Amino acid sequence: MGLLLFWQRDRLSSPRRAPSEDELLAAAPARAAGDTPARSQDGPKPRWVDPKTAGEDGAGARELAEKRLERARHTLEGYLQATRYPPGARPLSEKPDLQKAHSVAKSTQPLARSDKKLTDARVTLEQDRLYLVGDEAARLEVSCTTSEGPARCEVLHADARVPETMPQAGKLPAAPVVFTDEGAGSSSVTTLFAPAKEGFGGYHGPIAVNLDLRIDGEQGGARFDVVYTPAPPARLTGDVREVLEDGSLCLYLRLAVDKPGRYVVVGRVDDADGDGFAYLEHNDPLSAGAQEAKMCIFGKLVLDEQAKSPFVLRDVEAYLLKEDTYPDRELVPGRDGPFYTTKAYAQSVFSDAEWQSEERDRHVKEFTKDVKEAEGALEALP
Amino acid sequence: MSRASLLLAFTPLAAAALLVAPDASATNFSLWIHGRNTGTATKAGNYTDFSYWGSSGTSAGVNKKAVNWDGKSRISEQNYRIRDALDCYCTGSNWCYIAAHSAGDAQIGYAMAHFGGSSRSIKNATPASNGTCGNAGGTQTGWNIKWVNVASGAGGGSELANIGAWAVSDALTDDLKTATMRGLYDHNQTRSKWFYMFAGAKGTLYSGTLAGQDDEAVGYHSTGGVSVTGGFCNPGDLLCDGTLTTGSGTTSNGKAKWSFHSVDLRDDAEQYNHYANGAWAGIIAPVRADMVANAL
Repeated sequence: MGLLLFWQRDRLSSPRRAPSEDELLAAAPARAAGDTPARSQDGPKPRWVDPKTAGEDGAGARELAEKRLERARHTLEGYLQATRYPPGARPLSEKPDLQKAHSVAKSTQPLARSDKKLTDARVTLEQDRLYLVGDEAARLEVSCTTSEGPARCEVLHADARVPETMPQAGKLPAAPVVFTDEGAGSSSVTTLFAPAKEGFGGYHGPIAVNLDLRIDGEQGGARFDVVYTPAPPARLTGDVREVLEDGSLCLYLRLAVDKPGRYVVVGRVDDADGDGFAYLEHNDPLSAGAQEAKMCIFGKLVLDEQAKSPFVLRDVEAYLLKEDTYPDRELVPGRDGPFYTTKAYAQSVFSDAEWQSEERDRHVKEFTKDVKEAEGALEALP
Repeated sequence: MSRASLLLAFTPLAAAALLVAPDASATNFSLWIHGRNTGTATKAGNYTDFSYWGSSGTSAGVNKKAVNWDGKSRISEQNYRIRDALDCYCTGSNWCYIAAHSAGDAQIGYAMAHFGGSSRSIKNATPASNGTCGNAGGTQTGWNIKWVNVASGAGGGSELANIGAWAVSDALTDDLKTATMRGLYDHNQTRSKWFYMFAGAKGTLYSGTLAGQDDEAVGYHSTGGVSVTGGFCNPGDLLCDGTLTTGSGTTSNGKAKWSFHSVDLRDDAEQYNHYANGAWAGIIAPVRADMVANAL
């Protein structure tokens, strides 16, 4: 830290380039260009060099130029490899946390005491969904532990209410929530929370489910959050049109749209063996009325993944994305499990061509220029 | 595909691109997106106000710009500030390097995941007082971003938000809950741009709350870009779920990082905390060094 402060002092004394900048440059990390960024392979090596030891490895202008070239090459090569497929049709393996619908991260944390004191009582919160619409319900589960292991979760009080950070806070009455356990002494309790049945039917926004708990004599709180849409802005009709286009299989999902806007629709695709291989995304504006969300199973992705048809589109989720506001979305009822099964196709109908677009060309042009400039800078050194 | 075959496969395209002369008017910018800020507010829309970070005279990458927002509202409510900056400086012939701190990680991630494929008006890089720029003519898909450096990213949320540990409770705090933040956007959808994660570990005050190694505000599960919550630590640390690996590979217990996220700095010496401290300090110091070295 002392060295950093020294740099700062020097920097302030220079109107152009601080004398310390050379040290910073020499100390800066260097990524390894040779590492590929594919999900199935390890990514770039860490490049960070501790500033305190930077001077010891003799990092000079040549080493810095080499590191810059490595980064430029990594940026170019990584982009080229990743953009073989379009942004809307990615390998499912590239979405580790989105393999299934409604993914919500589990949280383990201390029991929150009002006096902020920490004890060894801990809670693990799990919920099967964060976003709900209409009559949907979320399954909420609390598991309790101490340093001795699982401990009884005693729910002293639980209710659902609009969080204080929302303008509607206090305008809707809190609703009691009943958690049940599997028997006396159980270390976990659960509930099914359906906002529409608890008086939130006309409310759009977050709902906090607060619990007062007692764990092994310690009393404190925990909180779940869900985000509720009372009435969907559109409805997936279930109808799908499939069309082979330029060596890809495009699925057109029919929607009855009440509110026009930017709709995000996502789904997973399994091959004939039931193995998931693709994650599709539609993210474009839709007008009101009968509309279609286009989602293409990219030909090269089918071939590279050796996926055999018929394909099954499953676990479809959708929402209306709203800009500059909160909540930022109105949920469309999706469908868990199979949504649509395609026809069977010969592998020969799929194209091995990479994704081409102005966006990709623009980036490749720039990243290629950067590599060339970095090569030139390195070659120019004595 | 091996690297050799990868290079062979793309050589024609790369070679063709080399034949195109660079635009003489092209300019690179370094955009700095700050995190949660309950102290003195930054001047939103003013790209020269670096008060969140430290002295504005400090080098921090080529043509540095401070992307300021209110630091306390929901990510979605303030994300237009980030999109305004990206439109200003990262369209047309101009290109950007991004540096983000803490909740700034969520701001850039949210923008790229939700709007990275949207049609953007090409701007003239001359901002008005509200942070928007004039049209230069034409549109393009998404933004011209080369890569993103992240200092103690809060894109995975913080257990401190989960338990209401912060004295000031703002709307952003609700977004920063781990379940909420991780469900806010597709963290893997970066338009194939790399997020280089700098993860600090100089934290002791909240070690009973934050899972695994932390920098006093966020744990390694978030700052390391891990796709699940959990306690991840430095090598040799006991009582953790696993070791946070450098690079983009899984943690030692097999938990994947978000795609296009790579740990550049794991703070094995536990020397970097979360805070800029008005002096480009903490985990921001190595990110600044990296920007100076590589954002050219």
